[in-house]
Amino acid sequence: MSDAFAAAGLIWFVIFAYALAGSVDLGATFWRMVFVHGGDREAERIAERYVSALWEAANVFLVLIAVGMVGFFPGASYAYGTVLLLPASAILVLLALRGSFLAFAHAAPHPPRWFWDVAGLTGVLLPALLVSVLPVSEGGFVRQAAGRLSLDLGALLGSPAVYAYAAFGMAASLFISATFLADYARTAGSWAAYRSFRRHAVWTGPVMIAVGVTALFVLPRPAWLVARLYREWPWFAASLVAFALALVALWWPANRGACEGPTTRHAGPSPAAVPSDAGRTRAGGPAPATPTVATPSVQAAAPASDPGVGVGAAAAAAAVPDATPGRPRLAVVLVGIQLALADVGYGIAHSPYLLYPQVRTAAGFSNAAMFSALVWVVVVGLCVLVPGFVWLWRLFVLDPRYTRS
Amino acid sequence: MGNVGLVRALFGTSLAFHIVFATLGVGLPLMIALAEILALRRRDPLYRLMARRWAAFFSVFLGASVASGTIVAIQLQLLWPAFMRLAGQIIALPFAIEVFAFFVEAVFTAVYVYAGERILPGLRILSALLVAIGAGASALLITDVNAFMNTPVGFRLQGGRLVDVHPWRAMLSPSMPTEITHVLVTAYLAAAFALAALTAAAWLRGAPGAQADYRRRELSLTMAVAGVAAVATALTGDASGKFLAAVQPQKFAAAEGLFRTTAGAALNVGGLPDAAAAVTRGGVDIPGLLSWLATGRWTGTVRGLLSFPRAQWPPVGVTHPLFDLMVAVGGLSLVAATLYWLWYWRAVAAPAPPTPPRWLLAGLAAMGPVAMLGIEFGWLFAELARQPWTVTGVMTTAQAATSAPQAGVLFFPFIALYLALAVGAVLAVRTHMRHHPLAAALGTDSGGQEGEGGGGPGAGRIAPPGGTPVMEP
Repeated sequence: MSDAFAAAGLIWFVIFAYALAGSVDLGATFWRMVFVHGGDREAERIAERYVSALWEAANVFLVLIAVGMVGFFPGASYAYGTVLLLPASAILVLLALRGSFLAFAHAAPHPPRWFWDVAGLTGVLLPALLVSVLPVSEGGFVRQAAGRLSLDLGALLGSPAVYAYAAFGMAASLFISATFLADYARTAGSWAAYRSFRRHAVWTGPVMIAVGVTALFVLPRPAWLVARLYREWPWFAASLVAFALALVALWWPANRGACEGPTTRHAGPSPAAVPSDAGRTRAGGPAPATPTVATPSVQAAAPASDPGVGVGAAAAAAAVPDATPGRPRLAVVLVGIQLALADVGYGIAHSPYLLYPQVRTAAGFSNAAMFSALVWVVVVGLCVLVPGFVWLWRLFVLDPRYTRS
Repeated sequence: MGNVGLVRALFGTSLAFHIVFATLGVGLPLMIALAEILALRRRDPLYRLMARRWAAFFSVFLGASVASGTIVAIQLQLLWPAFMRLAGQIIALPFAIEVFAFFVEAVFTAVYVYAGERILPGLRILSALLVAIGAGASALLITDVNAFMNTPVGFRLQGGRLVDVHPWRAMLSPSMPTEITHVLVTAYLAAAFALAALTAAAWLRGAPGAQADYRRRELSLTMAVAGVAAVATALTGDASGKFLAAVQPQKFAAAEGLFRTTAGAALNVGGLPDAAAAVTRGGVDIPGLLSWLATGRWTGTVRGLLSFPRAQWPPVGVTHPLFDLMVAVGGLSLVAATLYWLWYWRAVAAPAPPTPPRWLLAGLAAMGPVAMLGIEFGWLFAELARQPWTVTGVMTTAQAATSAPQAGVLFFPFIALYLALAVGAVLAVRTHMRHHPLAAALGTDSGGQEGEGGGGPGAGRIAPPGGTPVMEP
């Protein structure tokens, strides 16, 4: 019994990991599309850099959700497989288009502009579709006749809550990726891009919260879930606090003199800084003009440490940062905490049922032999996967030689 | 076509598409790692260039491979929910381990492709090897599930319920050793021939000056792997045949189009079985050879399909021709590799640097698609000859298929998607080759440090040999 909930928790953790990694990955292509059309080369380049190296690794988490479901909860896998044929196929088509065209774009140096429209639109549609699986799991859309399960597609498409969930998925993906890319841009010393991403983070965040609260607590939801959601209120309250702090972090005055070395000046939004910054990066395009930074990237990776220790020196030497407010690294950490808290609250509320009311968590469970074997595999695997992902993250996200080349 | 037929058609299309990219995804990293090792050992920058050019193809194919692989992984649950419910209880481990094997592959692919220029050669080789190991392990693990479907073990059925489940033992099914080795070596075979075909096709269009040196190395490396893999394919194929004859005689009979249990059975090549009349017509009969292949004795007894209930016959009318085609491709691979190396040993004695004759290059260019077709034939044979079962003796294909009636609706969208991906992959490789012509890469490589990665300034400087202008907007 408790084994089943441990397994469900493990899968829920993987879902959380994908919510983070996938949001950044998918949202980044959307922002890239926006900046391609808006002519913001700096921000476009930052979004591209991140996506190129990491989308295949992020995709692993998505497959792991499905594979974990099959091994731990074969009954739930059967039910979801049967009812989700159409929506999941739509997700697959979008995912495949996006993934392969990103890979193709990497090989062809100057892909046409519609290419980024494909990647951008799929990037914003996919979170919407993925999150709309949640209302299906909460019950009310699956019919059972003669022992056969089927999805009531009409009811699903007519439910306002489903659209609210989808909108929440979109907004969350855009907010998380904008915040993350703002930090990434700052790490790369690209202040123009930082301003662009921060500008979008500060409006998508409140939209996400408004839509999320509407979806969970305002629109009519299944009674069993609502009762349990209210019981988990401390998690959601703490999540809101973390979100508020994240917003504060995005508006916090940039005290860059303290953390980025002596060359920083506090001159207000200096118009001179913008063109010089952009010009430097463009000039450093094909040949690695940026001086190599010997500081190990480990320092820059520690979330609690001062932002930009490893790269700050190079950034300060090459370009003068302006006083756009924000502590993006802190904001990223707080957004992660916010998502984790909400994730735990919703997960506990949802935990008795994998698919209401057909599949109870305890009943959908696999046999004991498979459980223990699979726990070993998944835990050992995650011990490879999570550090591997973090390592990759450091190599491509935090190493200035990559982010700035 | 009923719902089960549509489900099979849809899933079959997905797999037929995916295995092309999966095969290349397994074979290319090995070729890249070998080129990297040769570059370091022989201090020859041409091998480094080779590795970089192959890595560019690989990242394109990996994109399509991940996309189609994700589709196949999820479609297993969408289209075969009952099978996956069973698999989840017995054979879930290979799926789970495969995810992590693939992750290792994805991580080190990113390291190799995007960071290859800023790590030491030793680490670069290690990254390439880890990509090859991750890719190979993925292929072995998924094939392991297929081996379980052929010869399920590790559980007992008691009144319709699964008892006594041993997940690790289920991974060690009897057909596992022969099946996974055959799949792995044929993947190396097909990938080596695919690269050799690209080289041969390019050489046919001309390879002036230093390009011939590069092409010569490329062709010899790919044909060395192809030659070793062709011999290994024959050996593992023979072992698989003997295994089938002993453990899955029904599948063996379906492969060979044999209806009557026969002592000293003849091997039929190219015949067409007629299931209704229970005879195989046409083709060539080689007396005693089938018995010898199956049992090692010319007079050994081979069971025919008539000794099994007719309701459980696989579609023998297609399985025997598919089997013959698969074997024919294997035979052609051996011939092609032998011809190349015969030519090579004679040509290497000549004073001038050898250029292969056009007939040899044309043949090798054709072998790329042919070897890939061999993979498709082998896969189709292996799946069709297990019918009507999805899991032999436990679950039929009709039981495994989804009850959801929308498979037909999804068929054409997925076909369109695969066409788009195939066209995109071909265009991406072509565009990459046009933007990074070998001549330019060789010119910059001998002159300085500029590589071909990232469309550096050297990429567009020299016009490609064909005279096509390089597009640089």
